[in-house]
Amino acid sequence: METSKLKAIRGFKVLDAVLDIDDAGISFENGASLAIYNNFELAGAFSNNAQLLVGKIVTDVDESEYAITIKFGEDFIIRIDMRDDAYNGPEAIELRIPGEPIVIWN
Amino acid sequence: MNIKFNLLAVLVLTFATVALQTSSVAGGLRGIGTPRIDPTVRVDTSMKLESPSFRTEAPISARQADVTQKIINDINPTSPSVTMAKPVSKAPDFIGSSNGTVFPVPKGATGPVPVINPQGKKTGVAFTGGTGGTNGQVKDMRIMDPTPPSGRNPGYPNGYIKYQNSHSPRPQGVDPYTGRTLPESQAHFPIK
Repeated sequence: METSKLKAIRGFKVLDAVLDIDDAGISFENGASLAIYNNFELAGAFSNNAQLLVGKIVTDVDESEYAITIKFGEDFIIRIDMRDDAYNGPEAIELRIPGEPIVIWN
Repeated sequence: MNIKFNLLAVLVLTFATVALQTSSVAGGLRGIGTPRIDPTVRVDTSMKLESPSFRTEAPISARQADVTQKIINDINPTSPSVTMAKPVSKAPDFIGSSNGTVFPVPKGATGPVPVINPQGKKTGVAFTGGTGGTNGQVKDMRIMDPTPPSGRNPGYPNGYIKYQNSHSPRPQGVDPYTGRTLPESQAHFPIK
């Protein structure tokens, strides 16, 4: 797990977020941004109200071949489907970190 | 006397000829400059590079061709169908595919810089920090390697190009000419 590029957002606070079905993204206090293009699921106490995610800290990231799970605080989870059928375009996720190359999951 | 007169005539004729040639060259050089990008323009890829010469419309110079090839190799060595124009130290004004499609590079963008996958492998390049489109919101241009079909992804056997703005909390796909946002399903322009 430590090799995941997503470790760059672990421990950082959410500054802004949109979690619409086909338009999802999150920005973090370290300047990183995460765009989600694949199908994803939300779990937790906050439904899909993205603004309630603001201020939460990324507490865990788990990346496998079929899914990426990002946990915010203790009660909010985003699970991104990484199976072939979940692709809506050529890109699944885009991660931008200031000063580093753009990372595209495709 | 006749000798002096003839010598003077030769000198006058020589001066006039040189002046005329200089004027023609200066006139021809006025045609050289930064190309204006027109979305309807198609690149004539059958054009052959020629040695520098004084013409009204100067061809791409040999030096530019060398630099062009270097940038192409840096950008995407696996996709020979992409060629670039006006290669200088900053980003080019546009990129042309082998079928003649022109892709504008956002004005003022710098690059190319690598784009990688989660394993750290280079899967494309980007020109970033520009201000393209009529609304000035086209910030980045990514030129990506081929991808196979998957799910609703039709696949891009020659790669694709994506333009993005700097919208927060995440960049959005945009039209390269207007800068207006595009649905994700329409934000990837295939390289052919």
